[in-house]
Amino acid sequence: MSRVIKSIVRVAVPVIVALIPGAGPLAVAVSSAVATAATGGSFKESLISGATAFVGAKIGQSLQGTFEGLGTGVGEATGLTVADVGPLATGSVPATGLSTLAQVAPAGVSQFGTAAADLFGAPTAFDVFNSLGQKTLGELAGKSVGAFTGMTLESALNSGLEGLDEALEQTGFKPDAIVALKQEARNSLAQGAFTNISGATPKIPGLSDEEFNKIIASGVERLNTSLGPSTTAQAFQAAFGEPPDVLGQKFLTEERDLRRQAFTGEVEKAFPKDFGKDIFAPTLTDDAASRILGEQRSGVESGIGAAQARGNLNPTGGATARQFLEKETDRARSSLDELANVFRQQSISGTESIAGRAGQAARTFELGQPQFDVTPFKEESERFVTQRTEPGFVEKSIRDILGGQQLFDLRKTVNEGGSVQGLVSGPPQKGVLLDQLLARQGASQNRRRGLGVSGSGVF
Amino acid sequence: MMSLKDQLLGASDKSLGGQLQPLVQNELDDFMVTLMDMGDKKGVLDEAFGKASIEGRLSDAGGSDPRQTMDREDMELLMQKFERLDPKVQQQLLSELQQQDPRAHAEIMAGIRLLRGKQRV
Repeated sequence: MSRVIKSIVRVAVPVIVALIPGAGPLAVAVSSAVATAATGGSFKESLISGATAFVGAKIGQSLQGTFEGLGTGVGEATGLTVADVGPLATGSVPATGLSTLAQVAPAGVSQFGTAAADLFGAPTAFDVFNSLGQKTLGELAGKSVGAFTGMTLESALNSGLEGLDEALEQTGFKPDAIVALKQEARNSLAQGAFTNISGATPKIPGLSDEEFNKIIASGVERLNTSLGPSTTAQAFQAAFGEPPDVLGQKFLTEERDLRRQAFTGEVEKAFPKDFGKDIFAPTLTDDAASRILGEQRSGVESGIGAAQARGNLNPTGGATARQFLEKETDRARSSLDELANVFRQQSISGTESIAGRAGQAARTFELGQPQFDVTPFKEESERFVTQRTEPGFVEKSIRDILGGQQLFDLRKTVNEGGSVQGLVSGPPQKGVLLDQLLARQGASQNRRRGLGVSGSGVF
Repeated sequence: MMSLKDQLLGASDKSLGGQLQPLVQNELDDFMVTLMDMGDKKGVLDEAFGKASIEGRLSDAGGSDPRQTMDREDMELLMQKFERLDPKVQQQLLSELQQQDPRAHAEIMAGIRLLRGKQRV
């Protein structure tokens, strides 16, 4: 609701400011406030301040002169008051503007007033058109007006015939009144179309009458305005030539599609392209992967140290084993990154799945259903992302995917060292005990970490 | 006793419209003040013209939200003031609105259509 008002204010106020003749005091105050607001100030405060300054200056001039040129209400600037329209203005609203009876109604059409004026309290072009629309121009003028003499005001206004304005002027209407009446005649066509179409189109279960009518009215207006600023009744009827229920259905479908489009836009805004990839970038898992890698490598380093302490490896063998471990680290890291990538892909798929469901709901929206709302999907996504970007969760997830898998092979690493230095425990048949101790050392490390001793992928 | 200045500024009326009333010279001013007052009551006036409105305009690029429609009372008041404008001004405003926010335009036209439908009954 507020967004519609905001939009109308945003669009209409600058247009009106530009239209105010001689940039009246209000236009000056508004222009100044707009400039202030554009630089970060408060539009409202600036506007009130501008108004205060203007009125203050007026007071300063002199009490007597204060109000000269400063209108005290609607209507004064136009010079029209209720009294001007006399007995015709029966309501409390002052009659003002170009569409008032005083300007629109032709002189001497005394039969016009009462019924129309009673409608709204103040007669407008709408009242005049309703009251006089079915009278012929001949009747209104009290004389012949050529080819238009027998034509009703309504059909004449929608005829688009040459010489119409002159005929209407002969009838007593002023040029501004003719413009106003033509607009009313056009409005009347659209109003008739709206009545027919809204009456003939089957209602949609779940859609309130008010919403249904608004959709039909909007559809009528889209088609109406597509005919351009001036049209004839004939062109209008041609444009609205399809059966009213068919047109109504078309308007409803257009509205449904518009909403689907708007809702899909909301989903795209809430879930931009690659949104999941940006959040679950490789950097997210770097720390966790480094910790896991460091932990496993540290276990192997301890194993090399223990092998040296027991005499399985001499210093040369130990150094060789460590060099081998260094080379293996790159491969282990790469292998671990692949596993971390599994976690990231699962996470990205999760966000895409939520966005996909939101998009599906937006694309399949039907009138009468509860309005689509992207918020629950956004909240679900936020919860999902918050959980899956929490460092502890990231690390645990990668460990779960890793399972019991060992990224390094202690036995192979020590053997690499041993193969360079030669055997430290004599001929092979006599080295069984040390080799058994080494194997037990590796198994013991795994048990302490709660890992299995078997599995695939060991280097 | 209320000062003349306060009276002029509509100090007894805290609405923006009340405060600007002394500047209203014709129906065009009246329509604009009504509109701004409505925006003020909805709390969107500064948003509509403020610096932040640049972002707002981008986010509103698709037009008004179809779920957000005008209150019936607001609509009736606005239509009442709108009907008093010069038809050329009416056309210019509607045309501008149609270009910049078709949905807000449709909302206004639907309002006109519905109100007129009622008035004709």
